[in-house]
Amino acid sequence: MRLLLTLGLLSLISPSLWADEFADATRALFKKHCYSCHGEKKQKGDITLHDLDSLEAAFQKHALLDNIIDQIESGDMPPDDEDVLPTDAERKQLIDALSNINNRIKTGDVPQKAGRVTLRRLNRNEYHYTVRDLFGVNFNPSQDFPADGAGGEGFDNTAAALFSSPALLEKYLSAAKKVIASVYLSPGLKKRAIFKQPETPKDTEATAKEILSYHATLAYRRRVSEDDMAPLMNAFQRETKSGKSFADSLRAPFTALLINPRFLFRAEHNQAGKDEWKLNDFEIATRLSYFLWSSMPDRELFRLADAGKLSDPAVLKAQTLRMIASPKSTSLARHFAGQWIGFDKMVSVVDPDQKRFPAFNDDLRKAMYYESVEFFSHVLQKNRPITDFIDSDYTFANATLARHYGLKEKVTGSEMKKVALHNKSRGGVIGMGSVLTSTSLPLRTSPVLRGVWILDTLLGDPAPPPPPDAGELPADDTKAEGLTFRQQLDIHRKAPKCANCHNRIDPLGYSLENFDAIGRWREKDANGKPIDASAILPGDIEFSSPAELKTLLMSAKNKFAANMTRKMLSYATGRGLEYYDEAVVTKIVAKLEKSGYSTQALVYEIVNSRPFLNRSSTR
Amino acid sequence: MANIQSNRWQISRRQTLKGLGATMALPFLEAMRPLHGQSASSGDPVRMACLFMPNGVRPDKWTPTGSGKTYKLSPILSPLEALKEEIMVISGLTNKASHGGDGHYFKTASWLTCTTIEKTVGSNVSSNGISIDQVAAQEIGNSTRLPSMELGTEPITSGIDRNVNLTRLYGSHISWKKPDVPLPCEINPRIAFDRLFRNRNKKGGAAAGNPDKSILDIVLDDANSLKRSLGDEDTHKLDQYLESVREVERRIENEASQLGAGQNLTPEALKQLAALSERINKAGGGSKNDFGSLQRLNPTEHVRLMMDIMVLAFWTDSTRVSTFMFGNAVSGKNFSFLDGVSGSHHSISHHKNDKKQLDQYQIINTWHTEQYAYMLQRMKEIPEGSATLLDNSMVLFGSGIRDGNAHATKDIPIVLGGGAKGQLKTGRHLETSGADLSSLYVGMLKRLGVSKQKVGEASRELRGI
Repeated sequence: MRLLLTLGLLSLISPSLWADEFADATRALFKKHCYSCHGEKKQKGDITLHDLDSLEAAFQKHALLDNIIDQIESGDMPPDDEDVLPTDAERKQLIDALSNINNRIKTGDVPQKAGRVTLRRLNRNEYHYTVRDLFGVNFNPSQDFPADGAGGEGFDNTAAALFSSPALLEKYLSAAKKVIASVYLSPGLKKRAIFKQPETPKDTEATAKEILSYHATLAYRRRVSEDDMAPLMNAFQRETKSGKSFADSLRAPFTALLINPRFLFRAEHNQAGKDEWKLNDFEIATRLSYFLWSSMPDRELFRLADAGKLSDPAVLKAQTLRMIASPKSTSLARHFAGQWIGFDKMVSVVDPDQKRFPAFNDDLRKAMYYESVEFFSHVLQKNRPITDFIDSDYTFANATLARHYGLKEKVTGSEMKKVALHNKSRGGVIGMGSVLTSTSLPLRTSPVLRGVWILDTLLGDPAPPPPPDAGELPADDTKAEGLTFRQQLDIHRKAPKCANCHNRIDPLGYSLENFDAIGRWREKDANGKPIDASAILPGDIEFSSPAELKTLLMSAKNKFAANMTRKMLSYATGRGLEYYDEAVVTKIVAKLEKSGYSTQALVYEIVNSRPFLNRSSTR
Repeated sequence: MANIQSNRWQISRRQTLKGLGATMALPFLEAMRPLHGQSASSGDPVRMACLFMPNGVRPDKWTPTGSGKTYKLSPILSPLEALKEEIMVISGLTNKASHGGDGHYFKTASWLTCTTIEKTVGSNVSSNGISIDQVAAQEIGNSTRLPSMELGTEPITSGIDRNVNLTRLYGSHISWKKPDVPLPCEINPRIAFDRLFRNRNKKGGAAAGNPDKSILDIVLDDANSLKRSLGDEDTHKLDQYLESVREVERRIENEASQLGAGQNLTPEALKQLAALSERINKAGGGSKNDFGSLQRLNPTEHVRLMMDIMVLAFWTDSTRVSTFMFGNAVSGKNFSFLDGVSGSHHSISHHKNDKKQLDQYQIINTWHTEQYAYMLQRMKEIPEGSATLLDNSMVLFGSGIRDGNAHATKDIPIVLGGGAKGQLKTGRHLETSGADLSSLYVGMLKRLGVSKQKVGEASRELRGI
C-alpha cells in the first residue's frame, strides 16, 4: 500500500480497496476455496462470495454471514472432495472476520441512520379503512382492487412493492364515485360531509372553501395550502357556474380528493442538504395511525400534531397506548400478525380438500381466523408478554371451534370467547387451527412445511431452498404402500444432500403430527396407524409433543423476540430492513427482556425508535 | 380479501343489460361485422394473446413426434387435433436470460420480456425489460378501447419466498409496462367484461363533458405543485401514478370520439356479449364478505369466461393485445376437481419421476391444452371477411420451464396458434436447437406490424416461422 501511495496512484484506487481489514482477512481465502462454486460463474445454493469483497458489502449482506460461519465452522464447507482444504488457522481467520462484522452490526458499531421509505401508496386495506374514517361509509370500496404484492419482511404495506397502473386508477375512480354517491344518498353522512350551508349567496364560496379545506386537511393528513385548495375551488366554481346547487357543486371536488395522489400516497417532506432529519408532527401522526390502525389519524392525533406536541416522548407514549386500546388496533392483529404468522391465508388461500375434510366449512374457516385475530388483540391490549404467542394457557373459541378442538370448556354461540385450556397441546400460535391448516397440504399434513414455518416465522431462521430435483412426497397420505408417511419422509431424509437441512426441519414438524391437516387432534394417521410424534434434533435434543416443542421454543425467547421485532419494525416503517437496523433491534430486545417481554413495550419502543421518527436522504 | 365474487355484481348486471338493451334500438347497426377502430391498415388487424401456464409440463408427453407438416401430436397436445392446421408447435426454444436465479420467479416474470429480473425481496422490483404485449400495446393499442388486457384467475400471491429471497409478486406478473411497472391480472370476469363493454354503444358525447374526465382534470391540475417537495424515487412513484391518470384520461377521450363517430357493434356481437354477460352472472355465485371466496367459480368455467372475453374483445376490436395467466408460478391450486388428480399443481409438478405423480401431472397439463383448444376453436368459428378471427391472430401458449420437477429451462413448451393473416406457416412442428425464445417474439412483433423489434438481446426473428 505504501508503495502505491508513493507512486501517486492513490486517486485510482477506491477506498474500499485499501482501508478494509475485512477484505484483507477474507478475500484471498474466499478466492482460493470458495469462488469456484460461489463466484461469478457458479452460484451454488444461490450463494455468492465474490461480491462479499469489502466491509460495506459485508454489512449489506450480513444476513448471509451466520450461515457462512456455520458452514465453515462445521466443516461442511468447503466440501471434503475439494483438493485443497483450508487449514484450521485459515478457518479461524475467516470465522473471526465474519463474526466481527456480525458483532459490529448487532452492537451498532457501524454507521447508523434512520433509513428511507419511498412514497407509500395506500394498500387495499388502508384505502378501505381510510375512506371509512374519512366519510363514514360502511362498505368496502376496495374489494375489487387487485391484491397488493409484498416486499421487505413480507408485508403488503412495503412502499417499494406497491405499484400504480391504469387499471388500478380506473378502480380508484370508480371507488371514489361510489363512496361519494353513498355519502350523498345518506342524509346523515351528507350532513356530516357538508356541515355548513351558505347563509347568503355571497357566502357561497367562503363556505365551500371552509368545507373543502376541512376535508382536504383530513384527506391529505396535514395543513393545506392555497396551492392545494386552488384546483378544488376551481372545480367547485365550474360546477356552480354550470347551474348546479351548492351541494351538487361539491361532488366533483369531493370525488377528486379521493383520487388525488396526496390522499392515495403518504408523502414525507425532503430536507435538501441534510443527511437525516426528524419527521414533522403530522408525518409522525400519519406513521403512527397507519402502523396501529391501518388508517388515517383521528381528531386527537390531528390536534396534537397541529399543536406540535406529538413529538414529545411522553405524549407519543400516551397516544400509542390510547391507540392500542382502541378497537381500531384490530387491524394490527389482522394485517401485521395475519401476514407475519400467516393466518391471513385462512381468508382465501388455504384450500383443504373438501371431500377428505368435509368438516372444514366456512364457519370453521372463519372461526380459525378470528381465534388468531382475537388472540393477538388480547395479547396486545391486555399487555400480555409476547411469549404468549409461543405458549399460553388460554385461547379464543366459539362453539364451532371448541367442538373442533375437543375442548373441555363448554363454549356456546358463534362469538369468539376467551377459553381456559386444560392441557398443553393447544395454547400459543402453534396449537391454532389457522397455523396448523395453513402449513398443511390439501390432503395431508406436512411436517416439512410446519418445521420450516417454525424456523422462519417464529425464529427468523429460514431454511435454504431444496435442490430442484429433490421431489415431493405424494400429495395424499392414504395410500402409503406399507410405509407410514413418516417412514417415507425418513427415507427421503437419508439422502446426504437433504439431511443437512431436513435434520433440523422435520423433527419440529414431527412433534406436531398429532394435529391433522385441519388442526384436529388425532391419535392415528390416515391409514389407521398410531401417530409417532417423537423427534430428535441435532445435538440429541429429544422431544415428542406440542407441549415439549413449546418448552424448547421458550428456551429461545430472545431469538423469537428479535424476529418479532424485525417483522414489526418493517411493518411499521413500510420498508425492508437494512444492516443498520439490526442495532435498533438489539436495543429493543434488551429492553423487552427487562420489561418481561411486554407486548406494549415492543410497540412503543418501535414507535420511539430512530427509524420510525426520522428520515434519511438515502436508503 | 381476494374475492372475485363481488357482491356488486348484481348491480353491474342490471346496468350492463340495460346498456346493451338500449343500444339495440339505435339506428346504425346494419354493418355485418363489428367496426374496428381507425387503424391505418386496411381490413382486419392482427391480434395477439399470450397464455401462460405455470409449473411446466410432463416432458415425455409434450413434444410431438415427427417434424414439419407430417408430425403427430403428443398426448398432452392431443386436444388440439382438430386445430392441427392452425397451430405451430415449436420445440427446442429456451429463454437464456431466465437461466440461473431460482426455479420459478426468474422464469415467469421474464417469460415475455426475455430479460433477467432483479433479485430482490421488494426494494427494487424490476423485470429489466418491457414485455412483448406492452411493446405491442404502446404501438398498436392507441386506436382501440383498451391498449391491452391482462387477465388471470388467481390473486397476486403476497409475501416473500424465503427459500429464494424473492418477492412472490414476480410469480404473479408476466406483463411489464415498464421494467418497474408490473401490470396485475384482472381475475374477476365481471369487471373484465364491464371494463371493455359496459359503455359500449352508449350515446356518444364530447369527452369534455364527461364527469370522469373533469375529475381527472382536477388531479392533473394539481400535479406539478405536488412534485416540488419530493425526492427522486418518490417522484418516480408519483410519475407512475400520474401517467396512469393521463392514460385513463386519453382512454375516455378516445372512447368519446369513437362513440361520437357512431362506431357501434353489430346485433350479432351484441347478442354474444349479452350471452357472455349472462354466463358470467350465472357462474358468479357471490358472497357478501371476505370469506367464502373459495366457493370460487368452477375452475374450467372461470378460464373459459376469461377466454371468451378475450375472443369478444378481439372480435369487436376493443383491444388487440392480451395476456392471460392460467395461474401464478408455484401455484398451489388444488386440481382435485379433475378425475384422477388429487393434490395441488405445484406439488404434483415435483413428481420425482414417480409414475402416479407423472400421470397426474399429465392430466393437469392436458386440461390446460383443452382450454387453449377451446379458445382457438371459438376464434375459428368467427368469420372475418373470407378468413376467421383465428386466421388473423396469434395466440401463444406455453410455460417458462419444461419439466417442473427439475425447473428445466431448455426446450420449454411453446405453441403458437393462428395465422397472423397468412404470415405464419402453421400446421407444422418446428424444431429448433436451442434458439432463444426472444427470437420468436421478434417474429411475432413484426407480424403485428410493430416497428420496435428488439426483444431481450434478439433483433432477428426465429428462422422458419
